[in-house]
Amino acid sequence: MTYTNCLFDHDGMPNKLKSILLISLYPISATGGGENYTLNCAKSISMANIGCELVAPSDRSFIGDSSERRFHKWFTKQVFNAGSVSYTTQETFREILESVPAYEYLWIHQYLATASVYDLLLATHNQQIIYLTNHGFEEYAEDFWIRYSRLPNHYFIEVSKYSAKRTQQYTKSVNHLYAGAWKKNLEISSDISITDKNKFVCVGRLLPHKAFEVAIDALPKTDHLVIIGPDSENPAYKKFLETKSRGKNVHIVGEVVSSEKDRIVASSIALLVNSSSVTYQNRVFPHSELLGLVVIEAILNNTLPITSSLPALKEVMSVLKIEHLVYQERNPKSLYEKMNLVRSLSNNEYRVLIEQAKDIIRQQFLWDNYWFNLQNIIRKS
Amino acid sequence: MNMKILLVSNIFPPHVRGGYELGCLEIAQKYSQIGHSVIVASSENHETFKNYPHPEHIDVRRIFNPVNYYDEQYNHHFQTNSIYCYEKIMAFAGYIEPNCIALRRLIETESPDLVWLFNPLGIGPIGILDTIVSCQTKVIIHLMEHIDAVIQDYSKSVNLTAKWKHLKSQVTAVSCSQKILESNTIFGEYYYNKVIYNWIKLDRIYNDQDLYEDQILSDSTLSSGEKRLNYLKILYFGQLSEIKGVAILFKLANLIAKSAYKDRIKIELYGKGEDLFVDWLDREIKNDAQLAKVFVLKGFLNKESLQQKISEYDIAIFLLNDNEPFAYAPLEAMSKQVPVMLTEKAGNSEILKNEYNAILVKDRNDIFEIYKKLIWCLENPKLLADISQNAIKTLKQECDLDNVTVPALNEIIDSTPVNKGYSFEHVLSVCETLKYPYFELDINPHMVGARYKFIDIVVNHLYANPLFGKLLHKQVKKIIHHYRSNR
Repeated sequence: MTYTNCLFDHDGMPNKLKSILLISLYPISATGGGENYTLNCAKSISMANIGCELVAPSDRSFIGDSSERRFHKWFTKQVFNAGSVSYTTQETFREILESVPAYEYLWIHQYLATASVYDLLLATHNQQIIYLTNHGFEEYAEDFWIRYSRLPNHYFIEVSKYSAKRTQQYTKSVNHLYAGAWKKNLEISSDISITDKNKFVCVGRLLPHKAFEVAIDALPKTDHLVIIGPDSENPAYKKFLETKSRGKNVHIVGEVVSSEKDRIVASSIALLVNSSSVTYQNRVFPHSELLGLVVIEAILNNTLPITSSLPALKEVMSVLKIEHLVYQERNPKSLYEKMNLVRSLSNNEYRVLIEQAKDIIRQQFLWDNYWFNLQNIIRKS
Repeated sequence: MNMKILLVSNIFPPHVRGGYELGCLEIAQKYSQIGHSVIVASSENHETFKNYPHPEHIDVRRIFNPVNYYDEQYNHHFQTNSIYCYEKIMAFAGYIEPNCIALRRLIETESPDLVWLFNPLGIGPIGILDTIVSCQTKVIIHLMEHIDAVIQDYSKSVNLTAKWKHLKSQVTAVSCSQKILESNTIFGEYYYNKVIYNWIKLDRIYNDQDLYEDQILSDSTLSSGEKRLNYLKILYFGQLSEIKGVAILFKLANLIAKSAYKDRIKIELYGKGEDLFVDWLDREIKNDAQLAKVFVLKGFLNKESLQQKISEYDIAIFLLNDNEPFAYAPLEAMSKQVPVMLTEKAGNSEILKNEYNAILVKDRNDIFEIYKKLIWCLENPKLLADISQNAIKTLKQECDLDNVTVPALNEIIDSTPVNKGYSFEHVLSVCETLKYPYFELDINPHMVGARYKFIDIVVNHLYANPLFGKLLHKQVKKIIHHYRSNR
């Protein structure tokens, strides 16, 4: 089916379609992999000379609100032009909905977050192409899949093979496309040798499914561990980590500016990604990571990542050919072994692994040609 | 070239609520008569609306779910039922799956050249239009109602207006007045929209052109001899309801009954309406002997009998609501050479000019203005006769079904492009999503909370008091009537 043929009116004149509306159903003011992914996605599309408008709820109260008040909730709209934000406006959800049919493409990020995904889908028409991407906030998943019926202009673009596999349980037209780095960031080389690296680092919001306690347990008393990330979302968990850290060199530094974070990561022996499907309170999070952008972030800062064996993390590590740095999920002993393994690498061995991973990122994870790659995938599917 | 035409209407004779259904019937009959193959898709309905003869020689397919929402008792009974509330939202601003499927099947089996949509309210208007647009056929929507406004009213819990706007942009529309054309732009515009006023079959009344001219001439000569009328017989026919201005007519009659003209003006009303309202009118008339002489409820007459009665009157009065799209009743009166008095903001006034072909009233609630106009009628019989002649000329120019309406409609039909269509699964997918609500219906059946319960008890206690209760009841009724007649 050729949709572009439908983009003309009765007189054969092109309809006024306004390129792409990228909408995140989860606020993107929060710092997290999914939110970064969405922002970079908008940037990438606009760099491919496609008008891109990124909208997201201004606050979290939008999620879970299925009353008529949801139509009056505010959304922040960022209009991208050639990779940067031209201007920002505020619009109500009702206004956003009314503008939906005018776009050629609608891309919904976090489509499992809220029932309002159906407000959006109901506003679309057959001449549009709809992309849907999940970043792991799945509060509405059950009802979404009961109600959803696939249409030929719908495409699920998931962030990893693992995530795509999960979606394939419910529907067809599922693809995955990696992304996570800009070409210019790959050029940064490090002058810090492995012997000058003096600590381990963890990056992420202080939430139970990130399982920072595993890193603390695995950390020898002589080593240092820095934990970077917003720490106000779950005070109980923060307290738990502080208790765990007694007698060890653990520094919970909270959220820091990006350049400072990069400096800390670059000067670390390894970046530890401990995400787990089971929390310290035995709560199950089967999808706590769908990609693990932090792995790419570590490589960009010339630091090797060590990750837990969560399927998505394992997949990325495997693609980057460093799967031997994957430890058994929630197993401090296994993590300790991997920490020692990295520490035992010579400067040269360490650099070879980093360069090899960077080459793969250059081939498969670039934002620079993301839109082009996506169109190729869609064409083939 | 003869076409296969599928007309779609929420309800269709013998079930009738108003002019929309009758307009659809007349188009079906006309296009059938001029050689096209006509099918009507509609619904089976409750006996309450069965107040018209069964249409003969028209292929009517009752494929849609019954439209119960115009039945006051039904609405009252289920108003707090969540299933009813959800279905009503879907019926007036959404999709009704069985209706979409039934219509699609009918279009597939009959392959019409043109689908002509009349009133889609109550049968899931957005789903109906989506289904029609998804087919490769010509589509025309005939607007005689503020459809966008109704959809807006029902789009509080779920909002499909963006879809409606998109569908409209692919459809050609015919509006029965400029007012209706403008009011149906709340959610974007139609692909093409042209005003073609509601029509009347002038051939039925004046088959012979010369005879018609002669009749006008002779009537005019007769009237010119008189300087003033001794007696003014005023006619109203149609729905007996507050929205149609009958409560204002009642007020006017009260004023006349107290005036010096009480023996020279009489208002007679034909039709039926809401039971409560008619009962109230009846009671008020019985209680006032003077009023009973001025204001008479004549009951319901079938169309043929009514047609014969119309010309017995000096003037027909229709104090229509300002939102009235374009009423048929004034056209009927005009065609019988009875001058009409109506409100200047109603759709009909677009073809009318005060004291040229009608008597226009600025504000229907200003009964003193209406009263003065009636006195003017008594004193200017010659001008009234001129008005009735000019009205006939206007009808011939703007509303003649054979010579004006059908050619204009044919022009639109010819220029309407055939839709490209798309897969019906797009419609079904929406139906699937809307099978049960994914949002809160915000039904607030009762006032909750201790404060309200206390007020309830107090009010009930006051009502229970024989003297005070009666007084209270009377006052409340007055307030309601005042509100309704002024809205």
